[in-house]
Amino acid sequence: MTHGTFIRKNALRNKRRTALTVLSVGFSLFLLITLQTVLDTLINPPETESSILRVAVRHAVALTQPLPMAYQAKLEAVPHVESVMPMQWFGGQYKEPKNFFANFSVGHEEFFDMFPEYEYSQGAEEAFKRERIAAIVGDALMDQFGWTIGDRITLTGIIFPMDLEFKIVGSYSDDVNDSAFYFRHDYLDEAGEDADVVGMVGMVGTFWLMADSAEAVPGIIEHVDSMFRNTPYETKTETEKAFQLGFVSMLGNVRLLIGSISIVVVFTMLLVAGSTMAMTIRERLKEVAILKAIGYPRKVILSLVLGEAAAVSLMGALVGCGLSLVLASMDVARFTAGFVQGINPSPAMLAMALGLGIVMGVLSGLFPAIQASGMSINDAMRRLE
Amino acid sequence: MIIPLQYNVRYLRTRWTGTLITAITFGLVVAVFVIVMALAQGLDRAFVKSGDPLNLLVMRPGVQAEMQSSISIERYQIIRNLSGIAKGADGEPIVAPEVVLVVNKLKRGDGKPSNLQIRGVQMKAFEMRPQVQVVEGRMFEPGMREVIVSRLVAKRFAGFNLGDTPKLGRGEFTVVGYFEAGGSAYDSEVWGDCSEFQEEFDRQGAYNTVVARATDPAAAASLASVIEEDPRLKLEAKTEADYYGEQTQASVPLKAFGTFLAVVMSIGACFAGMNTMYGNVASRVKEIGTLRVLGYTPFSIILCFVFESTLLALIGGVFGCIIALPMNWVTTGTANMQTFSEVVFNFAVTPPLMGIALVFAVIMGLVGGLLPAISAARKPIIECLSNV
Repeated sequence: MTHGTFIRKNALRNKRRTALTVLSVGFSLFLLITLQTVLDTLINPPETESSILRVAVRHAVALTQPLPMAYQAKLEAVPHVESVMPMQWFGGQYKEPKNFFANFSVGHEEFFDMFPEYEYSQGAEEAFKRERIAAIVGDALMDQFGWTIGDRITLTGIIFPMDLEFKIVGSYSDDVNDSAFYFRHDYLDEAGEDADVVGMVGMVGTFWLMADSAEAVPGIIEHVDSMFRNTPYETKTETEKAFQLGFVSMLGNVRLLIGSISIVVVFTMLLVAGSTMAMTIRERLKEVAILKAIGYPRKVILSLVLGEAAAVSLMGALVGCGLSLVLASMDVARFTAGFVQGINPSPAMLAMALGLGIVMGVLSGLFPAIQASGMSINDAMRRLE
Repeated sequence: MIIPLQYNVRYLRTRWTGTLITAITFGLVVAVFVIVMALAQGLDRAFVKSGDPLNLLVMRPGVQAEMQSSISIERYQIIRNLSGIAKGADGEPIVAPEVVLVVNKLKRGDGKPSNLQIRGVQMKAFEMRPQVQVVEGRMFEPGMREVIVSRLVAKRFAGFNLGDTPKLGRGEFTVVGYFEAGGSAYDSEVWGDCSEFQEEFDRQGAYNTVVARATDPAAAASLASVIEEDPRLKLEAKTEADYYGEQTQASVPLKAFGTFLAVVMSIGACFAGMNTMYGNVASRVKEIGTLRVLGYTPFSIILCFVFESTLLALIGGVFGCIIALPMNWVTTGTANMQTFSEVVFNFAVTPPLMGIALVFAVIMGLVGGLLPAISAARKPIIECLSNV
């Protein structure tokens, strides 16, 4: 019998106990993978070729303070800026408050240059540039409300005191976000003028710039902010990633919360695996003594116990990875109201979980293994009453 | 006949290492659950404490946060003259317009930016919110570019200490006092003069909200309907209590997160608990046989082991609550996406929450103990006694 077979047979001897330990470790690792994946998507938003070129400009005081539309021309004159698009959070409501989704007004001329990674439905660009009340909607949102191209829908203004009617002229798909609703800023501005809204006409919440290269981005940020320093509308300019992370940091110390929960999870896993292994070896002391008596060296006994512990934990890790792949295939966005788009653990994350499984197994077996291998034959025999 | 509970207690004590490890496992699960739920509860409490049922908050219909609303000066004048509004010591109606804004400021600890809510008020606001008390320094002087800040805000955001001159809007304001607001949402705010803030943030000609103090609950209800039916106003009025009650939905994601954690962690803990209990059963096969011979029924054996497992989980539950308890003194903050600003609050580990946690522990104990208990009861007596 090889050492491998010996370990396997031992691990499967008390099938119920092994199964329970594997499941316990599996659920804990599943939780760990899920938490770390969510944290990772929050603090490392996926970057694409075009997202690293995008720069957001907003009022220095807060995102809620608008900037004058006249800034567009000034921003276009900044070196290395290819395109400048105004963008305003409308925050309109579709029928009921629970139907929450992101809706923005955007500069219709620049929109398609600004988001080249989106895959637009056919004819979307021409129609959006042609029709004043046009809207382009993400595929996920189209599915959610059963909309089709050509539908007319109305969004009720919450922040802006007016209701706007739109015609959906196209849809788009994207890996990162396909649940936003975009419409034309000139339409919003005109409606604001008609409704006589104080402090809104000729203003916009943010400008988005497209740089000609990633290297030019820091220079653009510096240039824009110094251009408007000591004016009534000072700006804060940052990369798209920094802009997104600003929202995450508002949520509070997510990293600390998830980090400490993860540590607790790992610790409980270690306790569970360790106590099971201790229980198992205690029952087998007589056999350990026999192995010793027939001449097995200390090192081999040590590695047999550690091997068994590592094998059980590794099985647990495989169960954990399996569970998280099941979760990845589910529509997470639906029951987190879009807050978490999906929980897709990266291969690196799964590898980390498997590695952690082995390390924890070895750690959990360490104490019983040392105890067993270090024991004299006499002691071991006597211990069993 | 029921097996004396002493039997279980003594056994758990003899096997104290196993007992301890299992109890710690259950305890950590309970602690994580309690801490995340205490976060959600603390957030809720900040909102619930803010609303006074006699204060009517007038806003534009449909808006979900004060900041989204806007009310013209003309409309404010109309509201001011409605009947049903309480009169102050000076004989004037207790009603005041407010502006509510956010400024993006850096937090102390991690140096990351977050939105801080600032409220421009008139002096009448302090009659309506008696919980807001200046505790150090002094009240701001209108027109002097002065503000008072909550003590919690001063601790959480950089540059809001007494005498500091944070930039709000276009220019700098001087912090002249700290206030405390009894753990309410105002504890997350900076207060200053209403008309000064209007000018600073280009809001001349409009307020965000109007707050009116009703004489009694009946007057509050009738005043609300008068405001809503007045064709000149086209506004909505609700009590502050109702408004802040709606804000508690900010904690819904946290509660969902806490529940998810509790469910997944408890599944893992139940498996571990089962392992311990199967071990506890296996090492006492002879005793089980003896008990049966003495006349204890299989049912009382089940009862005995389920009780043991529940006791084990309960010890864990108590341990978990004890480690979670110090969180009561921890202050934290999170964004209320409704108001787009940060709410600063304390974790709230309350007795009802600990009660729920203990029930949760008992359930884990029951689930983890049932199968091992049944297996114990089903062992034939002869086999039990012949077993080594």
